[in-house]
Amino acid sequence: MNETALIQDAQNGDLDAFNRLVLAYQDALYNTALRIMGDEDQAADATQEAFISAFRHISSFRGGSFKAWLLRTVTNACYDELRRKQRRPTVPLEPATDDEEEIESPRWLADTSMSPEQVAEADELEHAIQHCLNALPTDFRTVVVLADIQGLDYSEIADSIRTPLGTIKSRLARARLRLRECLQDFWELLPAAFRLEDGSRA
Amino acid sequence: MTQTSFRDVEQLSLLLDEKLNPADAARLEARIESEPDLRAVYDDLRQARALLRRLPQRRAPRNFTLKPSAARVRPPLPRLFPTFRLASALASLLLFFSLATNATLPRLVSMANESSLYAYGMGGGPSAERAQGGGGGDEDSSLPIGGGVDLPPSPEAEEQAAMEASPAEPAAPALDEPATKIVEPEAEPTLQIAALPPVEGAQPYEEPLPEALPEPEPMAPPVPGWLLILLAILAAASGGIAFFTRWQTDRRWKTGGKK
Repeated sequence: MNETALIQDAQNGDLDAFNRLVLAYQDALYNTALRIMGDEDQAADATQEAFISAFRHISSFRGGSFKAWLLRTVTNACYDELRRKQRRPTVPLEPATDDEEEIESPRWLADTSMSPEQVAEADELEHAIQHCLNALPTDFRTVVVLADIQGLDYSEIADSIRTPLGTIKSRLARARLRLRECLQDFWELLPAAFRLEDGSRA
Repeated sequence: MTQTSFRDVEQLSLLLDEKLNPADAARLEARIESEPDLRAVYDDLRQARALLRRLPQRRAPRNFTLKPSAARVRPPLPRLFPTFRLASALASLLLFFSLATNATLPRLVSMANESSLYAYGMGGGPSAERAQGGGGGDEDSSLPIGGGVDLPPSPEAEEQAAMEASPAEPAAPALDEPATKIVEPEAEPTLQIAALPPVEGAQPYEEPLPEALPEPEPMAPPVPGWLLILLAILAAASGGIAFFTRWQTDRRWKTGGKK
């Protein structure tokens, strides 16, 4: 796939060329949206919105990393969706106690009250990580998703979310630190490989 | 961890991503070796990153390829569409201004005429009253207004009066006789010009009546009606053609393909 040629064709209005780019990057965009949003349906919606927006504004792409450019559109779509959610709050995911108070501890994921089907379907590590990601502020979450999940370079992240490089470094450090603190609560849920890795550090 | 400054945490994160320059990296690695707290934080950061990298990449639940309708891709415009659209817009604009001109200009002109008539009536007309203004009077209020003094008639005056009394013999005016005589004020206490014997063939003075101005004719509309109709037809026809060509292209594009 000649990406540059496809981009040029897409800039000339060729939807088929753009759709080939969509097929190449849709997993990356969907995963980014999923980690930022924490919800599959909303992630799919954000991904679709991002591709539509990308096609409409593809003439503004001036070169560089096309993946980073696409990730910026999906990040913006996620931010839009999150702002909509803030305006129209929905039922929280956290379970409530008998007193109708929300349980703030992340240990609810290990709650045995979950159905066996749910437990069976759940990928424990993924859920734990996603839960900790969700606990991060959106700006921190976005940076850590783009850096550690999508593997973008610092400068690409800075370009993607239009934030100074120094801020990216700072947010990434804070996000990693908070994630580690959060994940310590899921120690028993973490896979053996990680526990071995963790044990090997001492 | 709590004893480690955030500056150190940031440096450790950069070291993890190999974003430190070699000199700084070497210095920090030396500190990590010697400071257990710093090493613990470094390990925490490294493990958090390792966990995130372990996160499985999900496959997209469906294809997100775009359809023309979803992308709101519009078919190319017909070649003549911009021309007709521009013609329609211009004709509409001209029509609007023509109608506005026809509606307002005659009214403005008539208002201007009315204001000029008003100005003429205020200062232009001759005033007979002003011309017949009386003379000064004596301060003595007992005297009749008009400034005259009652004197006993002289014999010449009596003779003159007698001559005037006979209408059969109009006498020529005598220049050496007094031109004026004192008249008794009647209704209007003004000095009257003495009635001179009428000069033969002379017309009595009549106050000129103000000349009646002609009624202004209503102004014809500046833009003729046929031009308005032409503009309306042009606007409607070019707009219709533009719409039709666009609709036809849309239809052909939807049924026949994208391009």
